[in-house]
Amino acid sequence: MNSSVIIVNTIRFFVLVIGQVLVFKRIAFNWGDFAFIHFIIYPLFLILLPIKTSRPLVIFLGFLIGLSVDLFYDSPGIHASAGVFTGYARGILLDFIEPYEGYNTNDSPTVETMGIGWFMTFSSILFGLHFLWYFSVEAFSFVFFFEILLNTIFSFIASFIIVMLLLLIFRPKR
Amino acid sequence: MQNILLLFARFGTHITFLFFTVVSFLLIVNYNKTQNAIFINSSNYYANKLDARTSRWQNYLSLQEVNDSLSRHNAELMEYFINFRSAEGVISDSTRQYDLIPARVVRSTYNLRNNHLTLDIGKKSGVEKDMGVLSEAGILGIVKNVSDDFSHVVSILNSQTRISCTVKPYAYPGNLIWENLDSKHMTLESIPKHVAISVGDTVVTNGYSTIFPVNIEVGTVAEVKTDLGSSNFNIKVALFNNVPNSKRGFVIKNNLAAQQKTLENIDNE
Repeated sequence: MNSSVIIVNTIRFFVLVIGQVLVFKRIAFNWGDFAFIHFIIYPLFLILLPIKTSRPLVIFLGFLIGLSVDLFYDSPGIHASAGVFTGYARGILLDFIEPYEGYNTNDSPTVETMGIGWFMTFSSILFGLHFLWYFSVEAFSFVFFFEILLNTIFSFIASFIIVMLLLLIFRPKR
Repeated sequence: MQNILLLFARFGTHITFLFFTVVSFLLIVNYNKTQNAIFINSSNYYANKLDARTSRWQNYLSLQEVNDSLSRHNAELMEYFINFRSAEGVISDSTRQYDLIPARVVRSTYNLRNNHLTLDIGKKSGVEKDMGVLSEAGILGIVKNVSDDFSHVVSILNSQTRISCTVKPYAYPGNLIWENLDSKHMTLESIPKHVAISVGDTVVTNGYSTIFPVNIEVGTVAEVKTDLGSSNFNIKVALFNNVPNSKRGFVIKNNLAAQQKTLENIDNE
């Protein structure tokens, strides 16, 4: 892992946290009583980490970025636990959807390196899990099963569109 | 140290995941009001459930104690009742003729010709030879031998058993014996034929010996036979208590037994 990768990811970390808490936190869709849409884009950081990043480190970075977001959301621990879970799931998911030829060690999983189909599968599953975990922990009880489900589905669709647009605009190479 | 490193190399991802999940959940329940309230409520809920479950187990485990205390209580009540009857209503500490000592049956036979019981109390608790043993519903036997902590009891289901009984409301003395019938029936002998006895009458001890107090109910008349050439009935008695199934007994201590026996034996000496 060379230093430019570290620098790029560090910058991405701060940009995503700042974008999340300054921009996307303030977007609130309220159509009457319908408030199930939350824009959460910072898991993109975990998705774009180099594939061979050590897995405990990914989990730790998930905790770190989640906690940073939590500081601004006034919800210590909730985003952090979602980040930890996403970091953990990322490692397992990478094993599951490994291409036939295997991974190129220094690649970040992007549309350019892995292809649009693989990347969509990878990122949508991770985002979906992240939202499911986040809203479950936020509700903190499965009594609120339907709220969790509605929140997950609508926020996932909305946020995923935003994430795809961001990727289209910035086209990260690594 | 090397082992720890190897362990971490193998399960590091899972360990890290668990560690950070625990950390973030600690943060959540400590610093978020809603989640904190839910956590406390539901943990109380489960804690209460656990408590209820545990206390049920504890109750089960303490049944022995509860049984012992109930047995003691029964002994007291029966003691009072027996003394009340034998003193004919006037009861004081000086007229208290009988003491009941609760005991547990630790061994018992019931399918032999001569059956015995063993109780878990002995000399230390004040048991002596020739004391009667009651159960809650009837009589169990007579103490034959005593050691410090145990007593050996001749069960009423024994060919040697002879207990002085009568049929209510008469006072004719008869002998209650066991003719190897079964564990629920005994035979009452020596009741003259002219006494009007019908099936269902109650058989009680008559208190002629120093072993059993008067009026302990033993069973009911199940069948009345008249043997040819005999002037006495041969009465089949259905016992109230189930001797093989008795787990507890009460040893009757007759405080005036020695006095009565000495008096009765004066002429023999």
